[in-house]
Amino acid sequence: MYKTKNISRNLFVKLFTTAALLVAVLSPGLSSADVQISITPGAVIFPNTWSGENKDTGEKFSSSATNLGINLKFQWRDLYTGISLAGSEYEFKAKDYSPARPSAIIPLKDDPVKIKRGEFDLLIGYYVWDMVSLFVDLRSKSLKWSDDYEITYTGLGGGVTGHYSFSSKWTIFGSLGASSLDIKSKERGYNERNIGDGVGTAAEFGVLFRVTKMLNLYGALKSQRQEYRYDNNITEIHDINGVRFGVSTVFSL
Amino acid sequence: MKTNSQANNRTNMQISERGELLMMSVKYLILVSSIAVFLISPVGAASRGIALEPVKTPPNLDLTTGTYRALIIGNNKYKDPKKRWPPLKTAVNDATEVAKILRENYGFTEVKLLENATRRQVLQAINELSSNVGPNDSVLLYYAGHGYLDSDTERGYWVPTDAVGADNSTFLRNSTIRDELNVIASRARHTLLISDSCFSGSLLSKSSRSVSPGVGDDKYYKKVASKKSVQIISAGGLEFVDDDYRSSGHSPFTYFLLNELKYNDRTYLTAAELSRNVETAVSNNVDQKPQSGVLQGAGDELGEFIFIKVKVSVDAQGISKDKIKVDVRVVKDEKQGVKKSAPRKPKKRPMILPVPTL
Repeated sequence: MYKTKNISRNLFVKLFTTAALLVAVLSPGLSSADVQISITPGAVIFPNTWSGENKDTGEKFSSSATNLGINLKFQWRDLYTGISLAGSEYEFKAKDYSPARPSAIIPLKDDPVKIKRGEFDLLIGYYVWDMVSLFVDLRSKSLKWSDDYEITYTGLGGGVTGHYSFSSKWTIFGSLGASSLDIKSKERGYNERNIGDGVGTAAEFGVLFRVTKMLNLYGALKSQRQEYRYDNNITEIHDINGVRFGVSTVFSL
Repeated sequence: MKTNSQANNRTNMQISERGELLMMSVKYLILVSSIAVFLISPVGAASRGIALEPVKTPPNLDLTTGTYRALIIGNNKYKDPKKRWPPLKTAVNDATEVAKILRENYGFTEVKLLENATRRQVLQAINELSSNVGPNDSVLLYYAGHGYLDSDTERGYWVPTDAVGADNSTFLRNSTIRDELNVIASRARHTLLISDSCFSGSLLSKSSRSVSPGVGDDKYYKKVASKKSVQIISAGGLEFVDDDYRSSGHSPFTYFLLNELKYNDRTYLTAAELSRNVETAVSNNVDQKPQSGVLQGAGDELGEFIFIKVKVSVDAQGISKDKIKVDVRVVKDEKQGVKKSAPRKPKKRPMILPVPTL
C-alpha cells in the first residue's frame, strides 16, 4: 500500500560503509579472544516494517524502510557500556493516517509525508551470570516530519540479555526489555512542549557466527512495540518488526 | 623413628628479597635437625654424626614471575580403524610423570593433563590455555604421542588418537601448533613447547640457541627472566623415536627429561640448560638426537623459560636424600600482583555479543 523511498539513505550508507571498512582494515592486525577488556565497533542494517493504529478511531498506518546504524561497545570484565545510533526514513500517504499526527498541528503540505526516524541508545550492562546480563538504557527516538515539526521520545529503560554458545563459532543470543518515555513536540513558532508519555517493549532473538577470532556476523529477529498516550486523549500502538543484520569486530586490549 | 624426627624438622622457607633469611633458615634447620637426631638416635648411630648440607645455596634473586601453567598431552590409545597408528606404551605415563614433577617440584599451579586426546580435545585445551594466560605467565606445552612427516611436502604433524590412517586432515599440522603457540606467546612472558614424538624436529625453525656462558650467574637469570622467550625442545629431528627406554615405562627423551628435572639440584634451571643436558644424555644412549630452538617470528627476545625448583633436597650422611627437604616458595612480586597460591582464573565473558537496544 505504501512505497518507501529512503532519501536520506545516502548518509547512512556512508556511515555503514565507513564502519564496515574500518572493521575490515583493522581486523587482521589485532587479535582477540576471551579477554578482560574489549572494544567492539559494529554496524547494523535493519529492514523493517513500522505499523500501528489509532486505538480510538481504528485508523491504521504502515510503512517499510531500512534502518542503518552503527554502534560501539566497551566491555571490562562483567561490565559493559554501549552506544548505538540508527536512522531511516519512512513515507506515508498524506490522505492516510500517520503516526503521531493527532498530537499536533502537522502541516501536511507534502504528499507523501516523509518521516525521518532516528534512534539513540546509551546503555550500561552487567553480567550477573556467565550467560545473562542486565542493562539500563538511556533512550531517545525522534520522528521528524520536516524542518517544521519533530517529536522526540526520551526515557529510561532496562532489560536482560542472554546467550548460549553451541560451539566456538555459533552463538544464539537474545534480549528483552522495556522503557518508559516522555513525548515532546517541537513545532516551528512554538516552544517545545510535553504532549504525552508512553511505554515501549522490545525483544530480539538471533544467531551470531564468529567468522574469525575478531570478526562476527549476526542476524536477529527484532520486534518493538510502543504504546503512546497523547494529551489529546489519543492512544497509538506502534509495532516495528524486522530482521536485524550486523557485523562487529572485537578489539582486545 | 628417624623418619618421624626428620619429618618434624621440615621447614618452609621463602625466597625473600634478602638471602640472609634463607641462609638463617637453613642454619636453623641444620641445628634443629642435628639436635633432634642426636636426642632420638641410638648411641651408636649418634656417634657417626650427622652433617646436613644444602646441595647448593639458591641464588638470591628477585625474579618476577606470573603463574606457571602447563598443558600436558599423552596419547597411548590410538583408535585408528585402518590400523596405521598402533597404541603406544609410554606416552600417557610420560605425560603423567611430567605433570606430576612440574606440579610438585616446580611450582606449576595450573597443570592440565590430557590423556588420549582427540584432535578436537587438543585444540580446545590449547584454546582454553591460551585464554587464561596472563602477561607474566610461563606456559609449558608438552606432547607425547605419534608424529608424522609427509615426505613429499615435508610437513610435520602431531597424530591425535582419533587420527584415521594417512588422512592428514585428521592430524594436527605443525603450522597449526605453531599458530596456537604464537597466540600463547603473544600473551605470556615465557612459552616452552616440548614435543616427544617422531619427526618432532619439524616443529623447529632453523634458528637455534646455545646456552649462554653466563649461566649460573645471578645477573644472567635476572636478565633472561625479564625477556620474552618462545622455545621448543623436540625429542628428535626428522627421525623415528623410541617408545620404551629399557623397560623404564618412559620414552628415552622423557626418561632423561624427567631425570634432569628430578635430580636438578639448583633452584633455577633454564630451558636451554635443560635441553642441552637432555640432548647430551639421549644422544649418548640411543640413536636419537633431540633438538631445540625458538619459534621463529613469535617475538622471542632471547629470554629463557626458567624452571624454579620449589623443593631443594638436602644431602646428609646416613640420611636418605629424599627424607629431608626444604620447601622454597617463590613469593609474588607485589608490584605485579601475581598470585601463585591462588591463581586468577578469569571467567569467559562474551565479548562478541552485539549491543542490545530497546
